[in-house]
Amino acid sequence: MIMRILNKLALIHKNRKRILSINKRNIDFVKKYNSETTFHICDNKLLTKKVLKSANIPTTNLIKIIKTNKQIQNLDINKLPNQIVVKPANGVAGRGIEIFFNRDKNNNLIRADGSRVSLENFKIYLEDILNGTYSLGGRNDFVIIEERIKNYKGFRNYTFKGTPDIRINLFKYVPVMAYIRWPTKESKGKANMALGAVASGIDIATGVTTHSVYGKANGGRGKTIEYVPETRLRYSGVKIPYWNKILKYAVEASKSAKLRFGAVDFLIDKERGPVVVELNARPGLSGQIANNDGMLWRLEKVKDLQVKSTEHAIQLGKALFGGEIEEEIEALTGRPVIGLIHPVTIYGKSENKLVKVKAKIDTGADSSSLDSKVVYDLGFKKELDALTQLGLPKNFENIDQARKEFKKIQEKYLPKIHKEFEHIHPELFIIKAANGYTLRYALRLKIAIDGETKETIVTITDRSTLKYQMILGKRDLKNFIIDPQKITI
Amino acid sequence: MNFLINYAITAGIPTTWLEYLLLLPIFALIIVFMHYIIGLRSLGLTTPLILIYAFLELFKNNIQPNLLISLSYALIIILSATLVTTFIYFYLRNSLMHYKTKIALAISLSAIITLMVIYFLQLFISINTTNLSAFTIIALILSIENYCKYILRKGVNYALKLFSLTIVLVIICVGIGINKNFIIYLFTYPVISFIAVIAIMIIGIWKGFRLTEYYRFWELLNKDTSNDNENS
Repeated sequence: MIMRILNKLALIHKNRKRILSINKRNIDFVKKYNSETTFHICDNKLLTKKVLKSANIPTTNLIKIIKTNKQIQNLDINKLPNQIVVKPANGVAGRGIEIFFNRDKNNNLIRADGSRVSLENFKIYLEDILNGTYSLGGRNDFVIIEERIKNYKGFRNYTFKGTPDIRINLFKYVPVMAYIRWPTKESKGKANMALGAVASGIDIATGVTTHSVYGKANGGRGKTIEYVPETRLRYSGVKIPYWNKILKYAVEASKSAKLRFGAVDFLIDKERGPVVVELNARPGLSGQIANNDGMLWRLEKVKDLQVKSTEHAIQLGKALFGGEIEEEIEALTGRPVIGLIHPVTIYGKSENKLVKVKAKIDTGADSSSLDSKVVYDLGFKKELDALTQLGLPKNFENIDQARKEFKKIQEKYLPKIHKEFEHIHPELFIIKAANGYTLRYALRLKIAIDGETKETIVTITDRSTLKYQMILGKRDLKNFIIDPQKITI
Repeated sequence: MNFLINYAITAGIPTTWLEYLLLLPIFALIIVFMHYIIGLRSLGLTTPLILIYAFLELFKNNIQPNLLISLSYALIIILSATLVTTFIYFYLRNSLMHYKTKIALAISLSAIITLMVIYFLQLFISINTTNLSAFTIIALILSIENYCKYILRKGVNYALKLFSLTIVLVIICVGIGINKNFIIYLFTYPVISFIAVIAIMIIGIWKGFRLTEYYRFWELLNKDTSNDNENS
């Protein structure tokens, strides 16, 4: 019993280091990485639009800005479209946003839940915004009236009336976490978890939804939900359209506002595709519940990385934090997924002698190949010197010449070397190269790939002028699935 | 008693002033502790402090020998003001009135209702109002403004939740403030107030989990992550 409690406490203590808390977010990230200018841009929706426009990032269409009470009094509602979104320019956490889907013949504006707002009350609401009811610090504000997004068709069956909202959390411009919020009947068409919306985590690499929670349950802790209410449609496995575009815009939007820690919110328009709706310099922590994973360990991973470009930032995000789908593939096939470049550990003569290299995956090669310098570093100098005296590796123009030399060395010299260095089982290989054939020696070495250790035959050659010290051939790739898009850091 | 306190009293500074000023850092510490360590928010910082001192005034002036009755008296006043405000919000929510006038109306009507409540209270719980300042009652009512703001911004449920937590906080702080032994201890060792200031600074840089976050992230905290691929 005591051991169980101690184990539980140890697990909680370990997992605490993975989860981002509000206090840590505020001190170590929000205040540390974002400047006053960034806060100013993110807190003011008008300024956000300006910055995004200058960076050629699509945003919601602005219809009208109201700055004075006189403008409210003179407002002609008939000049506005039926479907509009009204929000305070300096509103925080979604406060004060109203979405109107239609108007009736009396010019009453209709909300998603069917309730109606008279023109007079609408003007009172606009006045409240101007007076700072919903703004940060209660200071005077402006009203922004935007066109309502036309909902992407593919999401129709997953939402109730409203538009799903996609959030990408970024740190130092690298996407670290993503989730989508689905409006429900309970949330009255709003993508707000506190009101009853459902949130689904999104795999950064593939843009496919993973774990889903019903936000309001369990006192805000969320409760795992599998199906869209009253249907048999699963929330997980939904492919978010324009995913690479969304990541690209998220990185560029955060760069344009110098938002080094924050979130970029998107809506997907049926005609225009993804549009940025908000930049958030103080993002909430619900994404962790939606993704069923902490954010802190992801931020720690990115902390010391240098981002060279938008593409590099996206690649880093995908490589470091994608993988939930990959885990499913691994679980189904029993084979780990690796990319075109993968770390390999090679063991030397003695137990504690080992070298770690980045190997290039070459499914066109039968056997693996290793740089002779690495073999030297592993302690096989004596063996290599003996083999080098044979004049290998040697290049030949045709296969006959190669076979002739192969036969000569195999009969005359190899048995003696084999006897002397039995532990590394030296062999000869004829390798077909770009300009002919190469005769190389090969050694039996112990290597480890993805934690799996085995002995394998590796041809030795001089790879000092090449980018990678090792290539892994087909013989050593049988237990893996290759994903060309996967990048190992 | 500490020599500095003695000197202050000799110089003519009322003991109540010394008491209230030395208690302020302690009350502020309790409020920020509740917010950043426990994770329970109240109606800001000044609203709870105003309520604490208003309640302390009610107790200090011996309005009623029985502490429980005194507490009930104070709570009835603040609760009636809150209920009136909530009711007025529902009625005025969609009305054709400016924002500040809605709040002014809520406060004004609360004042009138409070007067009626006090009248009826006097009939059933006779209290000694000789030393009681009217400002105390006004302070109780004025603290409603913050409550109004939260109603308008985040809805009644959230505002009521914050209000309830604020009252709990106030009761805790008032309990400390009326404890004669603690006050004697404070006057003997006024450095406690400085320690409270330092504690506030430490809480200001606290990066750890709030207690409520252990509840919020319980599923994640108990998740077995030993097989998670963190090195893709």
